[in-house]
Amino acid sequence: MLFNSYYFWLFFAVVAVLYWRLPHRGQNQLLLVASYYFYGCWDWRFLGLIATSTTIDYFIALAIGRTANRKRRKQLMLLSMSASLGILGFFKYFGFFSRELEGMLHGLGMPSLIPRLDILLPVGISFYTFQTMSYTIDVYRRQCKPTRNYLDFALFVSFFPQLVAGPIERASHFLPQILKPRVYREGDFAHGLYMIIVGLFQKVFVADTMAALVNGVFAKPAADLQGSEILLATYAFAFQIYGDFAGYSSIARGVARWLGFDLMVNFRRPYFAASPSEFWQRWHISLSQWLRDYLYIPLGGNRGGNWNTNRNLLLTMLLGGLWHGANWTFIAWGAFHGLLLVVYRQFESRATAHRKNSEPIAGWDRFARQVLMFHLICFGWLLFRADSMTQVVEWLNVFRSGLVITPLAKMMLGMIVFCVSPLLVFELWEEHYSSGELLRRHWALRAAVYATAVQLMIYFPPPMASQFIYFQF
Amino acid sequence: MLGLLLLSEAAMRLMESNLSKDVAHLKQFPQIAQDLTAHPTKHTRVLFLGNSLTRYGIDVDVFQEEIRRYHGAPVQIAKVVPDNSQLADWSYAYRNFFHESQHPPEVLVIGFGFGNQHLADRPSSHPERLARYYCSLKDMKELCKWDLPDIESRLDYVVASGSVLYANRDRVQRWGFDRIIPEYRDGIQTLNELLQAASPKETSHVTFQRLRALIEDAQQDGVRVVLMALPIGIEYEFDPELLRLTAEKQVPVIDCRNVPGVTSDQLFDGLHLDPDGAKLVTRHLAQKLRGRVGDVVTVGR
Repeated sequence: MLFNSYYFWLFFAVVAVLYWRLPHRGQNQLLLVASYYFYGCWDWRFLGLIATSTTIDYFIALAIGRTANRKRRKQLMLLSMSASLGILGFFKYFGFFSRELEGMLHGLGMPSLIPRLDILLPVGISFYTFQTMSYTIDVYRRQCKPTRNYLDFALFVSFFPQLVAGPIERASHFLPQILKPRVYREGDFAHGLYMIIVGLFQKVFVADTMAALVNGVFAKPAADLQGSEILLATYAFAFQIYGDFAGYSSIARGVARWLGFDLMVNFRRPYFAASPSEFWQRWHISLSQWLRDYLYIPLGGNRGGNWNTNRNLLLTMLLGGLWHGANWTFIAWGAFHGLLLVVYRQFESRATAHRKNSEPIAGWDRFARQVLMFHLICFGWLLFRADSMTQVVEWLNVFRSGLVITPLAKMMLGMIVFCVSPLLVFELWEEHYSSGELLRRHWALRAAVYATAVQLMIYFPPPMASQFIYFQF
Repeated sequence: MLGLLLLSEAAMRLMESNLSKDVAHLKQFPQIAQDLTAHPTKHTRVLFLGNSLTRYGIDVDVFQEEIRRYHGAPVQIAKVVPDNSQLADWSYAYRNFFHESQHPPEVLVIGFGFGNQHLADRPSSHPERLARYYCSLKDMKELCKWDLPDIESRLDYVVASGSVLYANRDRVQRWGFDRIIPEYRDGIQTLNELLQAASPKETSHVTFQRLRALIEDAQQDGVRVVLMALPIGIEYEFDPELLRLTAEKQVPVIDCRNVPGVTSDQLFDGLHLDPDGAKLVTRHLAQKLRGRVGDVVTVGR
């Protein structure tokens, strides 16, 4: 049930109408049923898995909350993490690691006795697993009290707007919203509508159109491609994945807002970042904060000197890459971003030492850094999109033959400019003012912007509707 | 915002026929059917069903002249040839505008190319056009069986049936992109070919159930059905299943793929016949129709 489908909006209309007629307990029960129905529409076979994961962490968190013994609390927390990571590891990584191990054993002339299993990847497993893990860790750290209400906790795990692709919510932020009654607040409808229209525009008009270009070009063998086509397909993919993911998050936030919930901001105009650390403060914010709080800081963060900080950055990003998928390309992508963070950190510390004052970088200097950063991120997207490292090398080799402009490249450039420009203009305006600036302006301006967005979506539908990329995670 | 959408819908309804020649043609289906039956006893009524291949490939004047020359009988010709259509669309067009009418055509010529693509069982490529121009509520059962496989496509259909804007948005898109995006048509064609080449090949057995149903409907009306294979610049074969069906139903297949005198230069875009090529193919068709449907043509009704 995709957000850009009629069926979802019919489903949501029914849920919303019933929801606002119910008292608090009834609302939570309705949302839980709706969330399980929503997830079951993807694949009913995995309802048991999310229920199991929910049940394990519910009881373990309660047990942690009941005991003051530090060692016991830690054991329980590690048990929860083992269970969560075990489930995630089996469904997401068993195939990858068993294939790699098999290849290694064959290379050594040894037989492989590892069973071959065709394991389906449950939609959204990475998201809800990280969400439940953060809950038990926060309970262990005494940053959050465990909830006694099983159904409310089950709703925290399975809340349908953010279940399959985030944002990854923290218990301290989201659980209280579930536990207390929601009231309709003035501005909820306007805010929700804004986020939904922006999200649909990012997904339908930008991401899905870019997907047609990307999938077509990368279906060609590398030997048949020109450098200009790969370059433009990379730019197109940068906006496909952004439109897809940010669009989904925005719609999720808008839908949640119409139910009286505030989900965290997950994207903040990431392609305006001038450095890798700024990029990760703007891109998939919920994941980067999760990695920072539950991996980077426990590893030592930046407290152990330059060498340890760099090690911690690299490790965190490597695992962040692995989170995205079971393939060496995702690990390489994570490593690349880790390297960027490390290298930029070295340069920035020297530059700060030389800079006479502490004014932020602005003007053409900042613009140049933004352009450079965007291209470095695009190189990372090439790693992300590829099926294998061999394919990455093949694509890069194509650039050696130069940038011949083909008719296909001209068409792609035209489509990218046409589809991405409205989004970039809008984001540039928001970057200048602030996020949600449109909500503070006259309703006539809002209506004009919304009308333009809707007309563009109607008159220029994507050549073919695409799945959200991050659902495979 | 809703006001602007309603305004756009109103504007689209006003200029619907001006959107493209194809839309004008689609809106003319009821008139075409009426004109065909205007002189039921004086003329032999011949209906051509197909897409742009048939539209360009058949010269109506030449056909009329040839039939009159051979049989001395005047012929009333109708062409229902919407762009980018296939059997899924033609079967609804026949069923809703000609089947069980008081004066159905006497000869039905179905033009096709690309082997199986136009005649095999496939969902319609443009269900939104079916909603707006071809179908009605009574077609829902068939639509759900063949062309609207899931809830999403059915809801899309419902929206398109009520909105001209929605039913024709792909035309607006093409019109806009043709003017704004350089090399748009060639680029999209290239992308489509790449995606098709990369997609998993059809392994399921090709069937012609819808063609069978169309032939049976037409024969029930007393219509003589003929298939016509048009040249398209590349070689294509007839599916054995198709030939079995046509033999079983005694439907002649007129092979115009390699008409003497027709060269690749006469395919103006590599696919469609120019006027000279159309004349040659039409004469060939008319000659081949002799003796196949001559009794119908001569006697008339």
